[in-house]
Amino acid sequence: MRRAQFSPGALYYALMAAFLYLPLLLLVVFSFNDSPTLAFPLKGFTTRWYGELLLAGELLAALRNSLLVAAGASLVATVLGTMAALALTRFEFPGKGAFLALAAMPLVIPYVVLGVALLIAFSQAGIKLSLWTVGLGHVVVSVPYVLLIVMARLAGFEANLEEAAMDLGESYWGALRRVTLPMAGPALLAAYLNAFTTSFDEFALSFFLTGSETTLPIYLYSQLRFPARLPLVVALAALLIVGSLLVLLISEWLRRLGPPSGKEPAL
Amino acid sequence: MDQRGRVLTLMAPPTLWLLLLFVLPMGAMALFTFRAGSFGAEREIWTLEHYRAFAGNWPFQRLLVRSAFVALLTALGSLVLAYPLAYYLAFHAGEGRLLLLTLILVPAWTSYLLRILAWKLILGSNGLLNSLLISLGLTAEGLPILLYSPAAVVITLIYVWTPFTALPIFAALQRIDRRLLEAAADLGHRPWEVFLRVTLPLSMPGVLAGFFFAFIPTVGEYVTPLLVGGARGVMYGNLIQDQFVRALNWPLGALMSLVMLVSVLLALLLFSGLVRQSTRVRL
Amino acid sequence: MNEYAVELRDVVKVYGGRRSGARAVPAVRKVSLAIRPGEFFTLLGPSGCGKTTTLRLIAGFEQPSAGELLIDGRPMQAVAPNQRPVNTVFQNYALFPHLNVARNVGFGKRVRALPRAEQERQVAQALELVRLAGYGERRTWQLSGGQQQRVALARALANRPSVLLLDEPLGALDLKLRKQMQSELKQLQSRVGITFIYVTHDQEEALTMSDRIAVMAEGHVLQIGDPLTIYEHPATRFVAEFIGETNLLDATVDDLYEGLACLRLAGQEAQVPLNGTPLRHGQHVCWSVRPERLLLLPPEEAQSNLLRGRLREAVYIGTDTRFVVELPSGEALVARVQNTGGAGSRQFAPGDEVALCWRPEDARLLVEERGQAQGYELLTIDKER
Repeated sequence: MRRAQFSPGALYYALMAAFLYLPLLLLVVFSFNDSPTLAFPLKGFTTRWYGELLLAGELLAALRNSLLVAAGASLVATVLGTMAALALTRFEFPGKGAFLALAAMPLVIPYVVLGVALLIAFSQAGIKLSLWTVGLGHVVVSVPYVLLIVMARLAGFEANLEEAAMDLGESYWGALRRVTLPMAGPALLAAYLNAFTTSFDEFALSFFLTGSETTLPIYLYSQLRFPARLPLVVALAALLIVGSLLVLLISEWLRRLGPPSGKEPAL
Repeated sequence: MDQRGRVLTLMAPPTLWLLLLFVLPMGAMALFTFRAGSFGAEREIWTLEHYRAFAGNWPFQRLLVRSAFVALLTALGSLVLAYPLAYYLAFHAGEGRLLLLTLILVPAWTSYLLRILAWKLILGSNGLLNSLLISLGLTAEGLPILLYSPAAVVITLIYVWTPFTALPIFAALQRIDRRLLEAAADLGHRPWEVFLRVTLPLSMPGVLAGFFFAFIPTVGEYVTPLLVGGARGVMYGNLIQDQFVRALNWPLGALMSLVMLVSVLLALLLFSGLVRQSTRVRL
Repeated sequence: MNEYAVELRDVVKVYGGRRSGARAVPAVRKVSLAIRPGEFFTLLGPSGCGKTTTLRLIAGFEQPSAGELLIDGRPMQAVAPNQRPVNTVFQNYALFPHLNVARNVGFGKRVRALPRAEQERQVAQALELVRLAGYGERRTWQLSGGQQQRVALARALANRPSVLLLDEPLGALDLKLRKQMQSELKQLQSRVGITFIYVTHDQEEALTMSDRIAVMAEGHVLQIGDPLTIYEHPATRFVAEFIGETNLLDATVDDLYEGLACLRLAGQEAQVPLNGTPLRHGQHVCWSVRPERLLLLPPEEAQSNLLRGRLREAVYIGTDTRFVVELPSGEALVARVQNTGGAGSRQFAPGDEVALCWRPEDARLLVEERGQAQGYELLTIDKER
């Protein structure tokens, strides 16, 4: 590995990694910059932008909305995705392929199309736009990720653990409760966190589905029109980025956690 | 409860959800293209006028084609950047490759909006890049062309997509049996020949996947053009959004959306066809 | 206590068929078994013979397409697996990795129904039975294959089933460990006293451990009997060939008189005593003698009831010598002679002319008959000889 550190490939990787992280780093750096404009050179260190953030009532309301929507939508997405994953990995039934294809579609369809379709559907159904409609949209785009994460974990188990539990007296649902779900626990949490960050950061879809109360990204976007508010926006952006980086790293760590799949004995 | 009952209990809620909040809305959108107007009484009238309007609206169609072109550039650009990355990770990174892969994926998973925002701040005329150039004395006024141009859109989107493009390429490269490469080298091929004749063809399914990963969503992009595209960088997605926000011509917007959806699905079919073809390896 | 612990009456299991669109595949065809309480009963056969499916039918993981299944005298074919008084030891152990050994063993519903102190006692008792006392706190993936298998056993036993089902539990173990576990299992079963239904494809394993064996092939039960009967009196050609090694020759009945049948086999003649077996002139039969029941003699010493041939090879295997004798007609027969040493032992070299003799009572005649069910050719019983 030591030799690889100076190989062209490693150098390229380092450059690309820098390229990817740099804009985020810049945001964080400038969130502490003591200047109302975003330009070089740096003018001095301050935390006043963060201080002002705490006072921005609208912003805090938007933050609260985002947290609520994310928490709720992720829960629904995790439950739905897990139910489907259980059925898809353990049972044979007609229509499996069709369901998977359909469930995976939100991953590839442009959010504009999704947004328009949902907007029209809500309008036709007489449902007013609100945080609820935003939440529903978020569930649709989160379920594919949950499905992938949980299916991957479930496929790694021995297939007959539920059978063994039922043999010992449990009903199927008891077997899920005492064996399958505890074993998949970390993956479920990882899926939830993944859905949470997806929902929390979501903008393209939310834009179509937001009512009078906004989520944080929508609020952020609305503030871009005011140059005076730019440093606040940057501070907020920096916070969000660092926050989601942490959550994502934890989620990844969780995904790899959990007891070994129980396929081979140690010796 | 027997097996059928269990499957039904487990699959019913997700399937219902999928039907109600995905399939049905798509259907509603398709139906809406036939309505005369967005609200009230106009909604109840059925007509083909929007179809005629779109068919005759050359600028709209041209914008769709241009957006596809932007998407093409973006996808190709990210492929070019992503391939060496994936190659390094798959062949030279050793034990730490998954960790390194995660490290470059994690920033890609942070907020899309915020990352575009960062680029807006970097590319702006008073932005970081320009002020850096000015403070270094390289230019006097800065380069205005950076922001609010199709170029800005492409650059930003390449930044967004490259990690996601690298992923399927990495997976495909990993799956290549190393012994094939050894055999080729053993038969007298030089490293670049081994790459061109063995590695690259075998990685094609991953390359195609990466391409479409980036291409398909980009065709419908509207957020990036909104933030960094300006007037010159407008894309098809912005036009659609416009129908719902400003012009309030929902049926037309639905139609434009439908057109894009159909194009995307056709592209997906093309993709799976290509993948099937490319996996019939011709060495 | 019912007369039988487990009974299968004409049980059929068919996979596929109309619903799934695939061709119907019968895995179990009209199987009838009556297993006594406290018995060590083995289902023996090659892979695909239906033995595992039969076990799963008893466990409740599959439902019979037809027929009745009774456990302790009560019909159970419609009862869910978690309601049946049976427990299974799976081939892959199926231990729960998120629980330690003690919690695995104490997982069963019947154990959990007891008060806490009693639960712990049962778990400790079960672990002691399988000689894993003190392993309670270990994690399952820290154990070796043999240890995991014993935990699986303890887990099933702790739940107090009437019948224990074992699905090729020793398959993943190496030879020495397997032999050790075989004797341990047998002792365990005597100690605990419950009915064991064991599935294996290893005929030696079956002969070693079982009270009775059911030999299966292609979904049918070919023969049920204790190990001695199965070995000494195979009912069909398949059973004769599957259990141990045997010599088989096609023969024709040349002549019949006074309780003897003259057979023409491999171009030579031999006589076999009848014992009431109805044979006809010209009937095709199958002659069978186990290698260890063939005596090798120099041709001049042999009396009647022999086959002449040339010794092709002699392989020394420590306890025995294995002789392969080639008959003039081309077939090869195998004889196993114990190396007892001493004065009576003879030396033969490849190429020698030899004669193979056998005692009349050691020969079996298998009579071919076409069975009707599903066109399957059933080679039926050999009527004592």
